[in-house]
Amino acid sequence: MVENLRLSLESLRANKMRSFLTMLGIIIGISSVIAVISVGNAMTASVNNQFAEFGINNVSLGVQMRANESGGFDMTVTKTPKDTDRISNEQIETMRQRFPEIETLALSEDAGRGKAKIGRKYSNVSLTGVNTGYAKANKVKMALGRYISDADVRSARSVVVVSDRTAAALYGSNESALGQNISVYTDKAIKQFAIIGIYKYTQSSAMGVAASDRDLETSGYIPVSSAKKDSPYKNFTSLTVIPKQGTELNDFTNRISAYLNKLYERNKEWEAYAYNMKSELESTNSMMKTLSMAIAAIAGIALIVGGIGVMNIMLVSVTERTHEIGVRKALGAKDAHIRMQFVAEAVALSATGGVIGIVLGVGLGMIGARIVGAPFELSAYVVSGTVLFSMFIGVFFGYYPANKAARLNPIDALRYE
Amino acid sequence: MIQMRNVFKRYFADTPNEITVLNGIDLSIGSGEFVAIVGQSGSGKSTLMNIIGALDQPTSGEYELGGTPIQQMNRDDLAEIRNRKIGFVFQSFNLIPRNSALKNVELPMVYAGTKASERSRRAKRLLEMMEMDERMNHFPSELSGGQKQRVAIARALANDPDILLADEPTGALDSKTGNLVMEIFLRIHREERKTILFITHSSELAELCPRVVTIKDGQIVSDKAGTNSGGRLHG
Ligand SMILES: Nc1ncnc2c1ncn2[C@@H]1O[C@H](COP(=O)(O)OP(=O)(O)OP(=O)(O)O)[C@@H](O)[C@H]1O
Ligand SMILES: [Mg+2]
Repeated sequence: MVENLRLSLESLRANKMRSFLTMLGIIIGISSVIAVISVGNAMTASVNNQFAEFGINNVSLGVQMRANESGGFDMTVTKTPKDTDRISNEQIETMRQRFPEIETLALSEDAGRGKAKIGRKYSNVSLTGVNTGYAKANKVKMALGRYISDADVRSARSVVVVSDRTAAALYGSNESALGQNISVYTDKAIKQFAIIGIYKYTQSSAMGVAASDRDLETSGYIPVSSAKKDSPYKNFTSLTVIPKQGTELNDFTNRISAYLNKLYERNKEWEAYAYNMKSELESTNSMMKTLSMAIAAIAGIALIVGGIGVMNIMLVSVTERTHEIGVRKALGAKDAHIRMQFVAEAVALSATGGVIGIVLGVGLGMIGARIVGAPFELSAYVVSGTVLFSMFIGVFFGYYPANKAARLNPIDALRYE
Repeated sequence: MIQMRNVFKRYFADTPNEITVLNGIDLSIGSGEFVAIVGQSGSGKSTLMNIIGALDQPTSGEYELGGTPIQQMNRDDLAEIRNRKIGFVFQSFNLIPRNSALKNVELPMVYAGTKASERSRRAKRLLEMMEMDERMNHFPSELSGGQKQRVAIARALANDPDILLADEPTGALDSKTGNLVMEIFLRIHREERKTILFITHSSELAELCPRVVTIKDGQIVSDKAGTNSGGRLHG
């Protein structure tokens, strides 16, 4: 066995150019498989991360303009739903009771944007009215103090949870910001809030990059009831719910969509929607998978072509070395010895091609991952799998020529010139 | 050791081009004999030797090697016989070009499944015996004809076979080197008591052998003792 390996590596070396050309098909095949798989994985991972940021189990509910008869929307008129077209607090409560699987219900209301100022220091804040469920649905992480509570909402308190960026800009630290009163200057009014908590700001990949770090605008969370005080609308156009663990998400989404649309049955202009990211994630993932498979299939064809190249060169090699085979048989080589020798040579050829292909594929994969902006990852499974597969190609396509060599009649092989 | 009865070898049998290369050979060679086979080119000497060496099969007739009939053996059994019982030496050396002298001598032992350490130990000893130990890491292309043939003889002796078959081993060598190779065969015969069959075109070398078999048109036409057997080579 060791002897065979030594022999095959030697014959590889003896025919460098020929071996390389033969390996080319395998190199191209393997490297494209590796590159495609690693770039595909990187893309899938980055898409999954983005979805995870939104909350993969969140179900978004809301009202939207009803599609007209032809199935489209009238693009020329944009309407704002009247308060009666919106989802009311009572409807939300009834829904919550109808769907006990709802674990968290997040409400939000835009309360305008402005500058929080102290002397010459300022911070851009976008005020958002929220309920307690909002923190979970939007993955708000507290750094200090507490988040908006049910009591805050019930009493419509003038309290705010600001980002650590705002705290740093205005007070220098989270600790000194906590408990302070701040004024937020919006275009309509100056609003006063007591800071009850500071959350950790995380740059969302979905949001654009701020002009400068100084002007970065972060959310300031206030009780949704406080936000409603200044709003002409008492009801909501959208909300987010998270069902309890183990709820079948798509089924839940369909049921809640049907339930809400029942409320909008008579409404000619507006209808309810419900969707979740999971099905979108799934369809994106399956699209990616299909794409990867298609490219992998092309790579597979390259591998087969490479394998045929191996077979071709092995047939040439057997013919060239017929006399040598005869000598070996005269010295007592059994068919199996000769077969092993040539199979080992084909495997050495294809496995060497495979290893070169992996190195090349990893390089291409790294470049590709950088282009799509995702971290490069390569599993040991893929590497060992492709090495084994390229060896298998060697065995598969090397067997026929090797067997042909093994079956040669000793005297005919020996007399072959 | 070797028993042949009425052995025929035909090519293109049952066609108009049929040629009979061996035409009813009866030959019996005992253990430890040194036999020269002579005859004109094309008379069938090599064909006979290839059949004796289990490289080729007779078209008809019986052949027993060491008491076992060869006809009933399968490919692997024949390979085993070539490996263990027979050592071939060829006119054109037939060393494996990409293997060193040492690896060439080891090769029959590789096929016999000998351990690597034992293999190289024995191969070195054989090369020493052939006074080739200083060249054991050289490749065939780096050796002279006589040196190549000495490596080939060492290789033929690798598995300590009963029979050495040499098809014109001196044919590609000048007469001085040829005589040297002949000396080696005589020495092996003397010291190791091996059965040796030796094809040659040189009557001088043939006459040194205790027994000389002459073949003409595929038939044995004479079988007698060499006139100078036990004598010495000059030069
Ligand atoms: N495979 C074959 N097919 C057809 N004819 C063959 C074959 N092998 C040998 N012969 C014929 O058999 C005859 C004897 O050949 P062989 O090699 O035994 O002669 P030889 O006595 O060894 O001659 P030389 O001294 O030249 O080596 C030749 O006429 C040759 O043409
Ligand atoms: Mg001949």
